[in-house]
Amino acid sequence: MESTKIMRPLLVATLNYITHRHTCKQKLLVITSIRILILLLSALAFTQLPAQKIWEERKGCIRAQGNLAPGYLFSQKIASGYVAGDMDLFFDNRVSFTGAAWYSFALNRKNETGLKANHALFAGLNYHFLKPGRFDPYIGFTPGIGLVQATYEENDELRKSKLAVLPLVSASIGFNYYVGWIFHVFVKVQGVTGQVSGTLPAPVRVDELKCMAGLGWNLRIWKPKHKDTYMPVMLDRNR
Amino acid sequence: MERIRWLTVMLMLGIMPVTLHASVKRDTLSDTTKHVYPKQGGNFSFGLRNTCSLFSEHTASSFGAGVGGHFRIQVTDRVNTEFFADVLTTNIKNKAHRTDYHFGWSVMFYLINPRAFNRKLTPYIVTGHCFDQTVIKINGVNGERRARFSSALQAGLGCHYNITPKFDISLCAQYMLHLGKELHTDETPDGEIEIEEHKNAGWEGHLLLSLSVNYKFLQLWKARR
Repeated sequence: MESTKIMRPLLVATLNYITHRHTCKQKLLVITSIRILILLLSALAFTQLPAQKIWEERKGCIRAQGNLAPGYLFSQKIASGYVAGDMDLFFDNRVSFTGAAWYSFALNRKNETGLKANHALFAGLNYHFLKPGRFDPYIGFTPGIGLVQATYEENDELRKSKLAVLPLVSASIGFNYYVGWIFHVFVKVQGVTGQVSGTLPAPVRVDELKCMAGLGWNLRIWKPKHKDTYMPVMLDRNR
Repeated sequence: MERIRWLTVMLMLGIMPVTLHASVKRDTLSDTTKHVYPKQGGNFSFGLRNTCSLFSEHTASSFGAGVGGHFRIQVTDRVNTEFFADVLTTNIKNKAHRTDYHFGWSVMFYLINPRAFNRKLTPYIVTGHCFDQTVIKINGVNGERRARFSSALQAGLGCHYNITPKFDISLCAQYMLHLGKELHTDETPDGEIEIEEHKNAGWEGHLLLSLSVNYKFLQLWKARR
């Protein structure tokens, strides 16, 4: 009996909140129409997803994206942030040429020593395991070059080093999910290792795990002339 | 009449093994038909690589890592050529660093028939020549810096792992012998690093391990079958 006494006002309050009993009519109309629109759009997206056409052949397609991406620097034990973009040029159904650019935000405060900037450019090849379909996992080997700047202490003064170029060893793993012929969602994780010396008094390691995820675009650049079958030619010697 | 019949039977029995053998021979796929792979001469492939360097001459030098690229032009089924450029940095006891720029070419000879790269593994021997710019710099803004330009010879062993006939991952180990003035570092008893240059030609070398990904883009010329 006691519990129903407590529960009843709570239920009434919840119902009033859901049905907007105390909201003015105009506001309620706007809220309801937005809700119905979102509901309809999401229902439409889910029902239409399998019907969306995707490219049957990846060869000749390009996929590209740009987003904000995080990273984690192991030696510095700090999180990093980037404006990043990458692209895949499919010159084969299973193999794509990939390139990526990472522009870093300031990694530490003005009065701190350590990495100031950690920009990078990568290029390599990705191998896509599965035949063309919606789900497209891949692994990539992407060597790169880094542009690194750091602050260091010399004679009780903070000095900023020049931007130094360094070689980077890198590999990546990820997947794309082709929602339609024009766009896809993706997740990519990239491991990077390198060391910068430049004008610094001691070398600084830039071992990092970079991540990116979001919405990307895919377009057909050229129409492939023939399919790659990779089958050896069989000839009859007696012929 | 009876004799003629027996003679005919005997003759047929005598010929039968020959005809059977002939029919067996015709049925065997390996004898009459054989995989004939397209000729590989003219293949042009492009690759990107990471290279590790292990110096053998100097105790003060250590592990170096680098990045580079190459393209390959295949001459015949068994012979391939590689034109490469690399940049490697090596940390020297956290007090100095060495940067090596390599650009050169190599000839690769496949130890087994690659069968148009339909085999998963294709081992090869490699030898070649390159030009090399070495820069050693003591760490810091005003650190001493010395450079030398030289020539080098390299030879080693490698292996392609053919994921598809067009796409491969290659691992290669080469010993590179620098021919020219010797440039190296020495550590003084008080722990400082000094750069030394010897005018005599030194047999300075390093082991290079490279891991690359390659894709055969096009065939520059059509090899005759």
